[in-house]
Amino acid sequence: MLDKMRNIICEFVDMDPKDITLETNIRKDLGLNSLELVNLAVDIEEEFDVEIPDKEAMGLETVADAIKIIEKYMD
Amino acid sequence: MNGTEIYKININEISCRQFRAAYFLMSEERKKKCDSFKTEQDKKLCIAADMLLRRVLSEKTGVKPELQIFASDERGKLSLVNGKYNFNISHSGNYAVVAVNKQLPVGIDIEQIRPVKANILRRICAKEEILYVLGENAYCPDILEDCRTSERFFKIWTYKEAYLKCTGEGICGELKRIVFNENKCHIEMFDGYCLNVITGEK
Repeated sequence: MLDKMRNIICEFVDMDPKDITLETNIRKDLGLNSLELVNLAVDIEEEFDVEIPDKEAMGLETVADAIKIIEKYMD
Repeated sequence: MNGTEIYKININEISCRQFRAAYFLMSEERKKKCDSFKTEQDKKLCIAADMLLRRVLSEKTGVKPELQIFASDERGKLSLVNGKYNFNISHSGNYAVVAVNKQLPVGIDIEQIRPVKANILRRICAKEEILYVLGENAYCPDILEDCRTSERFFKIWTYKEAYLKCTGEGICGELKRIVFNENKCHIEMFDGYCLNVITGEK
């Protein structure tokens, strides 16, 4: 799942996928603005076939948080 | 606009010396935020927004720019500690913008108009908004690249952002339930940018 997340994130930022870890902070480390965050959330939802409520999507801090949320809504 | 005033600054009009001076006036919290930005442009926008805000509030309140004191709530919304003006800031591309109102809450958002992936529409837009962006008989492309389509999308996006910033909910609010209403906002399209301002009620 981390590899898939890395691929999605690298569509938005010019980064080496290996530099994206579970601890990577989606807002602070990736420098994404609100629109890009929503776009990222949409791409994550499509990739994993989940629907994440806005509040939870915008409250995500790290890549680990994102994976936890995806797993929560995949069930 | 119910007493709301809008101010804009282009970072290309600010000298290095002015940036340095403005940086030192910023609060420690804001300096930290500025330092955390990866690109030079984002750092400049952060400083420019602070500089513009201090300048505008100084003109309104008579308090010198360096003596303005700001506080932020748990969502990061700024307020003036030593004064009574409501304000909001935004930045995108080369512009930082400020909206101020003495009595009423305000929200402002500016976005550089650019291609956007169309899959965002079903996520954040109500049905009537999707029809507005695409036109009733148009197909939905993967990327919204056509000028007019992009412009219409950004009118909607900036409306939602400005609304949530005005209410203080921030981007955690539910985007789909805030439906674009051209009569409830002030929109400016200029220089490849869309700016939207919403003034709240008391």
